[in-house]
Amino acid sequence: MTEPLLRIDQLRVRFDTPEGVVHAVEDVSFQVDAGETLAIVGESGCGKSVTALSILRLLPSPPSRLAGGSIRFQGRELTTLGESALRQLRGDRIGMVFQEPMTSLNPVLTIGRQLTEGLLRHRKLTRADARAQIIALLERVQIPDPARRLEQYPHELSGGMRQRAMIAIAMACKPSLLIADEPTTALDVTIQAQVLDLIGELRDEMGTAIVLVTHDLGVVGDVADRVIVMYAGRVVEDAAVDDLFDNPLHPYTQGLFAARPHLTPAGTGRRGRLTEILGMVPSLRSPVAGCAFAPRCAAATARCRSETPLLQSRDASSHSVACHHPGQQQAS
Amino acid sequence: MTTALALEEDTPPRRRAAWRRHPTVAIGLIILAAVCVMAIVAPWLATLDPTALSPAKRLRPPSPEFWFGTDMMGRDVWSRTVYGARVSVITGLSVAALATTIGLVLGLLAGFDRTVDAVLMRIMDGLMAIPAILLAIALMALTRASLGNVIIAIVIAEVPRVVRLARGIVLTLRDATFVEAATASGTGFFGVLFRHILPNAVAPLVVQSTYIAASAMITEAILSFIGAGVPSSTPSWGNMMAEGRTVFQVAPQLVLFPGLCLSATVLAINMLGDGLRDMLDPRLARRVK
Amino acid sequence: MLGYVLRRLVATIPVIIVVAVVVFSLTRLTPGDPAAVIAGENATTEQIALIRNRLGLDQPLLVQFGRWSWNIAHGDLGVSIFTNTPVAGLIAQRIGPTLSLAIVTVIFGLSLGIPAGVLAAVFARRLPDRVVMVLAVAGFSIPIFVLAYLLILGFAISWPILPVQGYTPMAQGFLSWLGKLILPSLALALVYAALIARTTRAALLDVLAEDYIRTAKAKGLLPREIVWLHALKAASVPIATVVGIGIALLVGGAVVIETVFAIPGLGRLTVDAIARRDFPVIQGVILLFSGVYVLINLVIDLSYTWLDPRVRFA
Repeated sequence: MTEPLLRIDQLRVRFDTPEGVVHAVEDVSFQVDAGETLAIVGESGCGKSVTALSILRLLPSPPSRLAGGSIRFQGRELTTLGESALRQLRGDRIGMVFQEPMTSLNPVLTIGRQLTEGLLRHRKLTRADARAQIIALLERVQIPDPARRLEQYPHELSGGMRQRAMIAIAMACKPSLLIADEPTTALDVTIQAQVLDLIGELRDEMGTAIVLVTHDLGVVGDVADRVIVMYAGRVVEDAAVDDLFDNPLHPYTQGLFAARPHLTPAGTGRRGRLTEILGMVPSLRSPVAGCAFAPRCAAATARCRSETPLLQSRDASSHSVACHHPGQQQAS
Repeated sequence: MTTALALEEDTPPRRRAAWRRHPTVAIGLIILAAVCVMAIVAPWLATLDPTALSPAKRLRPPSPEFWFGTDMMGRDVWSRTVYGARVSVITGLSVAALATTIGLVLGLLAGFDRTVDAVLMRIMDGLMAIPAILLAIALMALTRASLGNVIIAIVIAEVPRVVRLARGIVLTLRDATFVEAATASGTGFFGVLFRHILPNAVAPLVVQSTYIAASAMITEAILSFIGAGVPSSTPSWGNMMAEGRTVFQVAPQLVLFPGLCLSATVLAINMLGDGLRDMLDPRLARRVK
Repeated sequence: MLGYVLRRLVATIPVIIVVAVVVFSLTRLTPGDPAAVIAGENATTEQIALIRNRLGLDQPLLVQFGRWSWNIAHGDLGVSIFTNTPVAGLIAQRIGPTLSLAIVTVIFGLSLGIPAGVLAAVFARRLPDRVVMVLAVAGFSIPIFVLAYLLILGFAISWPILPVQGYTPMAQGFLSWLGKLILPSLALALVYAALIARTTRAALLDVLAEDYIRTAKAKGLLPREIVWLHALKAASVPIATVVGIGIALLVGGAVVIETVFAIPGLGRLTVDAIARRDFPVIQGVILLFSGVYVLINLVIDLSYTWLDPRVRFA
């Protein structure tokens, strides 16, 4: 059996804050095959972005710290990889797109400089060659008049345009894996779909696998092959996208679907935001025993409050869930 | 854990913790207190009259009789250094107090009145375009050499900085939500001023005034050093360095003793100021929000 | 962009006017008869009258100011009371050493201050940061002339490797010109470098926390590319601002440093003028220094359009 492109095992990330240690990511495991699109879904603060950023070690440290687990990419262990070897992967084999196109581009450097420097770093190219490649790529991501754009600065571009530029930066070296951290959250609804389509097209052309971090189930349904649902730093459900949409097993996942408006008239703004589940996201400091979702779960029992459920596959399928009472409809 | 920390904020142990977290404030205060005591009890600390000439005992090296040696007129350098602390301390304190008070009043006026603001700030911009030491030099060149005139000259040179700061605070706070709420609920001008503006201005002004005191001491020493400061008959650190300058090659201690005293004093004030800023800033930032 | 440049230029006009009024008023606002003060305590009535006449003090105030401003606008800074020669000429004779001192000091200040600030920011709250910050506080606290004497003691008396006194024009050899400037410039540069280091550190710490630094990292760029290009360019506006404001520190310091090192520059000219109560000279030097200060800060303001493209559209 061949090794998956990316394999994360028992990942733990802690934040050392003056108020105590935050257990941001707790025993997270998943894998991504080449060309596959995996979505990580959850409310803000559930650890999905932290998981995505820790793959390339992009979290500020301190306060963050890798407290355990393994990240294997193309058979290489990233957690113990040296900083310079990791730099060879960043932007070359693994590209990243971030949430805020407004702040993710350097305001004082030209678009051209910011687009070409990754290529120049990873490929033996002349400036002219890099420039030609970037112009072609900008055309591909549907930025009009690319040669002129290269001389411009980020604030001269619209939000959607900037995110296209970010995608061009991430895809410049044709990476095997693209990590997209809420790539459409900050954009207008009409632009969101275009950017998602663009990411999907580039994936198909370049055979790039994608880890897509989002809180938007609509986005998940559109582009993902598989989904993991995170809650309070843990994976609570892991399934193929169709299985998850047909038969969500974890009460939290069910809550996400219930909270999601089924019909969203075009242009009315947000798709299902995940804030409509009753109760608060628990504090990740000093985690208590038992299921973290138990306080908000209608089906919770005494066992749920004392014993942490483990992620287990049901019926030998690829559909796993971390719940003592999976599949019970949450009364609400 | 978090609750324990929150409780500590409001109970006495917090003060001790604050000193430990900001040791620079403690060290600065200790050195500063020592210099102030030195200035106050100078007549008892001094072993000899600081102005007594003894031509026979010129340029003596440090000894049990003359702790810091004697200068080229045979005066006791230790006694002069001790008395010199008076000039520096008086200058630092007076300039800090006067410049802060005047600057605060002008800054408040500018912050609350657009017309005053337009005129006053143009004047302050112009004054700030003249390097402070040159302005003080020019003022001193026109007046008689005296400690009072030195203080006035330095105050004039320092005031614009305070005006800017105070005006900035007023402008920030005037539009802050809690001030608008207070005005809307009928709090009068003086209510807003005394209950909201001034309490929030205290922290930054205190920090600023420490820096002004430090800068004033240096300016006084420079003025005296170049002969535009306190009268040469007054033992001040700047005067002592000016007099020792000519014999620096043979008796460097004449310059170094007062110089190092000045440095230590200014260092102590700066440490105090930095420490206070670190202590007060986060609270201020939270309140201003 | 043109709008920004024009706004900056227009904003300079009131500053220049206020400077002129202040410098002009200096002689008029002082208590008593300025002519008597300038003439000194032992002057005769005729001497005082002569000075009054020469300064135009017998004219109405507005006329005096008008004539004075007109002359200054034409480069006429008046006549020295002591030497009876034009102040502009005296300044021209003395400007070389001061300009040399200023240039070498700014080079020292930038090349010490910026790397130190970068080092402190990159190693924030660790040992290099603490060392730099302690040195910066010391730089603010040790008065320039005390530092100057410590340097003389160290590098000219105890371990005599550098000359201490005087000034050699560059025309007589670059090395002897530079050699005599090293100690005075170092003494003058420390406080400037401390100011720049602190600002660089603070500005860089803000920038290093920005999202676009993470983007740069995600591209696989080297740390030095990220810090020295991405971060430092983004942090350059506050650094440039303090480089300009710090010039005021240098001007005051130059007066003292030239006295300590016997450099025949504008600082010496000022100190001599004070001793002789040669007021036109003092006024001329203040006007010159203030004008240069305003000009430098104007140039720096205008450089923002180059440092930060967002300003061009503001």
